[in-house]
Amino acid sequence: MNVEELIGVTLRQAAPLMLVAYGGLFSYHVGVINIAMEAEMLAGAFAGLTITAWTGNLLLGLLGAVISAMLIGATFALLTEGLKAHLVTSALGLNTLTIALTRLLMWVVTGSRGAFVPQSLPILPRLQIPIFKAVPVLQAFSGHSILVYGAWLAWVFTTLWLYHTPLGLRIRAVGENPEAARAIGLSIQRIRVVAQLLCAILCGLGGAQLSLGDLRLFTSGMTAGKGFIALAAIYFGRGRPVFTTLACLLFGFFDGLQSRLQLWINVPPQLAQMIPFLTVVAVLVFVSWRDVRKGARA
Amino acid sequence: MGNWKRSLITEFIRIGLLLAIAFLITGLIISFTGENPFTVFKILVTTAFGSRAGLAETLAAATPLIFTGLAIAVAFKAGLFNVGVEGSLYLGAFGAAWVGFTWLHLPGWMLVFLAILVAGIAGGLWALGPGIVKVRYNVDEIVTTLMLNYVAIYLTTYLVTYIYGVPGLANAMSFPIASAARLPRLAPPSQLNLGFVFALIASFTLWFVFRRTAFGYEVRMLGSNPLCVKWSGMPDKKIAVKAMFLSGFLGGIAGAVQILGIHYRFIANFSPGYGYTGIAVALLARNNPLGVLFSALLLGAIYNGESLIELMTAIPMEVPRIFEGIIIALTSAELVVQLWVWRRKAKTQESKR
Repeated sequence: MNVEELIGVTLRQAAPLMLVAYGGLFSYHVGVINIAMEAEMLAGAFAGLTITAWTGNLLLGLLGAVISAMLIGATFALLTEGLKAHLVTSALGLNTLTIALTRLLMWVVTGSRGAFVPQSLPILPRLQIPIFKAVPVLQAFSGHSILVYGAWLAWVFTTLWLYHTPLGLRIRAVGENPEAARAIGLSIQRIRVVAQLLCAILCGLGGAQLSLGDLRLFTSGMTAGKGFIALAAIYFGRGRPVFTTLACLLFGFFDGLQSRLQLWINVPPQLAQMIPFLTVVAVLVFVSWRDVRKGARA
Repeated sequence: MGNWKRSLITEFIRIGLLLAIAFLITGLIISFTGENPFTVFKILVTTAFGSRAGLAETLAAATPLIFTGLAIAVAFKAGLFNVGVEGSLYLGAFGAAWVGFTWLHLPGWMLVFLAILVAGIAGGLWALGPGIVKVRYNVDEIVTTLMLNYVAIYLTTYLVTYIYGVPGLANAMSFPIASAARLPRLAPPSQLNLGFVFALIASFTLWFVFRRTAFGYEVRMLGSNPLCVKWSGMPDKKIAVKAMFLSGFLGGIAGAVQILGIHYRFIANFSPGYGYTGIAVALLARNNPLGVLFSALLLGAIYNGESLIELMTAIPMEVPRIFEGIIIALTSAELVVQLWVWRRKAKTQESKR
């Protein structure tokens, strides 16, 4: 395979991960382990595709993706902040619920139980970059759906918001030291809820990129752990946007590689599909092992 | 004794309220699809408990859930979030099938014993890794166990597709196990089998272990007050790793029981998420091994009804899943009763988060 193809497929596979991971950074920094990102992403993927196919309007579809993800985010916030439910179990419950609910809704809307492939679907605009198109390697960066570029914008936006705005400062303050944040008069609950909703917005867009931008169909449970991989990308970078981005690109690369590997050499698909999940575990263990060693030396 | 009674009453109110909310939301969703929720619930209850055959089928559906519920309860009691029981279940199921189709000449009881042992060890070892890196390098076990679930599913699918598989089948599955290794059916034609008895034994054994043994005490202490365990000189890391192994061991047996009792071979992707449903089972029972029996029965009843619901109404099989999701999401929530109880407690001590 050539370099352009590899770069292109990496960018496309990484984009949904990036969007979700940047959303997750808000949760991470406010001190919430957000496993519900998987559910938010799935809801975004379903609502984005279905509403776009139904109305023929991409903007409405994207809006629907964001709103449906925010509904789940709001439920998650209500459960964990309002009713003091456990972060992990309530999120796992929402994941189960969302998989079933999207399947049920898919059946209600289309009568189909496995997949929804709309016959006509407006195409997410592709951004052509004229200067890049003529250059050999750089041309791989041109011609992707706008959400792929949106993912990179989201990087800038998230970094600025988290590190250079008062709200970002408050979010990080609540995450790092809730007691101190409370002492200076911040409403911890309100900030947590705001961070959760910001997270959901990006998760919804990530899901929409998956169904609308890339595959142009919806299958039940199509996120297949991508929300968890995004979460791992955050852990990989200890919540730092740069490293989170690198991790997303790495996982995107492996994801792209595994689909290509099967075409060139005869690697069993199951072994290739394991790669991103094994990478996550290996990276997590390595990062923590390094931290422990550093701690021991200091 | 008065205290004990009051907590039992609060538990009943808690569970009642939880179920009421779950039924209410599920009912609303059902009516949204154009069906009558009461018809659906009636089908559910009559299939699950209306006849002897139905009841047997409910117990059969509850069997794997008892094991996964116990598996998760053990980890939760030790303060560990093992959400990787699904992975252990797959490994265990494959291990049991492997014993069953490899040693065809062994007598039946020995095959069953070996299959369950191998399944338990396979599942236990699968959970051991996350346990060890958790205590040694403080790697979050939630993320690692969750990721390894996917690895387990792909790994076992690979094994039965390329190595131990029956060639030429659309759905990847292993060779059948020796017929001597099949667990006897207790109430044919239902799928209820000896595995249910094993599940009962496991529940009571675990209840005894937690109540009466040093290991059980250590696990409970570790979960409720890890610092106390550490400073009192107990080997906290060893206890955590042991609890993780036991959790995976039980998860592995859950898989074995399904293979030996129902499928008679390993089928790729055979589990509809028993490992995740186990979380609901454990949480509903507040990690009590005997309580697990009842919550597994409840969720088993719902599972059992799902195929009939699809047959008799137009709704696809998703209703039980929705119900289950709501229960998992809500079990740890402080519902009104709890709020009331908590508030009285909170007057004396600031609740920590």
